[in-house]
Amino acid sequence: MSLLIQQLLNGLSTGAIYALIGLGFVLIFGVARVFNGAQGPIVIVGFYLASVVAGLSGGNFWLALLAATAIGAVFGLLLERLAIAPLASKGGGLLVPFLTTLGFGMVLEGIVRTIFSSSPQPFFVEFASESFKIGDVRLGQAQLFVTVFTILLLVALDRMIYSTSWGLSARAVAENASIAGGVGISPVALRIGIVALASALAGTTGALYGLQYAAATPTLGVVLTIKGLLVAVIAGLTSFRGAVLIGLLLGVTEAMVIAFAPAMPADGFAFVILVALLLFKPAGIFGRKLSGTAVGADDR
Amino acid sequence: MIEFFYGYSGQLLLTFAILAIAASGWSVIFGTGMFSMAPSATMGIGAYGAAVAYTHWGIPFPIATVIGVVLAAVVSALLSLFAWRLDHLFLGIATLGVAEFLVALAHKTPYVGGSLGMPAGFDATPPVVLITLVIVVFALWLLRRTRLFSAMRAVGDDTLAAQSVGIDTRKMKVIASIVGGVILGVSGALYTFQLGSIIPSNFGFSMIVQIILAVLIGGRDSLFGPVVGAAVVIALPELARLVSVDHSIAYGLALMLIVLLRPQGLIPGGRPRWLRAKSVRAVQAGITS
Repeated sequence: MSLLIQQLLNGLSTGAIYALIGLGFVLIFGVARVFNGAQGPIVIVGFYLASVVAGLSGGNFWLALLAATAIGAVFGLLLERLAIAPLASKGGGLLVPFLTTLGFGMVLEGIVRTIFSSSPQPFFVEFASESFKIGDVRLGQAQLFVTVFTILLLVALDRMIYSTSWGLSARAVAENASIAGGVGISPVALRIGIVALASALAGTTGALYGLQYAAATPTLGVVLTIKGLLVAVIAGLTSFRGAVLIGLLLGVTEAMVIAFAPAMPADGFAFVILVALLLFKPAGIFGRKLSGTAVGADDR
Repeated sequence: MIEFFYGYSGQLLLTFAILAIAASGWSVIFGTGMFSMAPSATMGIGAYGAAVAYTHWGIPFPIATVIGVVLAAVVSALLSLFAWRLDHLFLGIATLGVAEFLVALAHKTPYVGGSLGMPAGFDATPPVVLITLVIVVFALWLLRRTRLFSAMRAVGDDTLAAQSVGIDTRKMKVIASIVGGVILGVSGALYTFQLGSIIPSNFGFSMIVQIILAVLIGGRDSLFGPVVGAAVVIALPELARLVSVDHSIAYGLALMLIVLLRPQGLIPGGRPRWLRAKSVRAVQAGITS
């Protein structure tokens, strides 16, 4: 029983990371119709800058978190200018921008490896090893912090998207960019803003990831991109709250598989669900059929 | 002569040949418009099938290769059924899901050695690998002269138009996947018997990137495109190392630049000009003038 509760918390905190990355996908896909192949590598860039700032500031986590968020936003602007904007006028479908953003992410991974080498970079190792004991249950300090912090962050983002006029414009562009343009919303300005926001979020995620796992490597970016892609597609690409729910669910499922069925491939389950879902419900669990996207069959 | 192949540049040449075969196989699948992100999985099925037949069942190298290739073709054909319901990037994501699942499964399956992988023989000698590349390119050259290939290409160019002239697009996608699967399986089996052992991560995301990059750089529509692309993909990290640049930076920049600036690849579609018959050129000259 105590193992169950422990794994639930572990799963929730891993799921919080997945939710944040999946959310970044949903945000960018919504306004730009782009699968961002650079989401994971930006998380890693955030992590590495956070580790440097933490080292320089003598272990100030909040400063590290802020720096990670800021560098995420900066790379988001670069990503938008170099890999998304050049394609926006061409209307080349989903494949081409996925490939350019993937390429951008690979460059980031290479830059990180050039500066820091490919061995794991440590991050607040003592913090991650501390835990509270309530009865038989051991709750990791880092896991608790990441879960609570992420929930607060998600509530703030939810307010931003659903209760501000900027959020309303963003949802209008996601719904139909040309009509939104017609009523005076600039889709380009919004796209820049949203990509920067999603990337800032990725940077934040990097610092949170570091806190939870106490280390990261440059190659982790690809893994996180695939996880986020999975979350976003299962949730249905259009649903902010759906992505959060699926992210948490994925984290908990993985934690349970690792604890109670160690012989099974933990990553495997999510992929089986993904494939089945794509085949039988291509719009995802919380998704709606989109206008002007290529969800569904190509013939017949 | 044979010592060359056990040196560094010789090994690079063999790695290039195996990647060139894999890329040629994937270009047939991609040529019908299917952006499958599971070429590494198909290759891995060929590799593991051959290794299991060789090591566990004691079957000699040529027959073990055939077993691996048949398995790869079957898996590739099954994957093409996804294309009946999904297209473009969504097909890519679904097939990527299958590929990642198979890698995770291989890590956890003791029968194929788990994360430690499987041993096999060193039977794919350098001449075998290089001659196979020549045979594959020749076979594709023959294929490209058939009506079947024209139909497959028509599906890739415009599925709806192909359908409207009576081409069975689903059948074409299955056939292309079987052809591509056979070639990917061959490359996988060669990989096994050239290295003498395989591990699951040989067939992970970086292999997918290498195969896709080779086809995009070289050119998806041409016979020699994937071969030239494979040469670039193998040469890029070596060149990058000379100027101390990380290989991911080289690959990432190459991917961005080729997609943005030259989407048709280094060698665009059709046969290269120098291979065309004089009469064809004469006819074209007559049309344009």
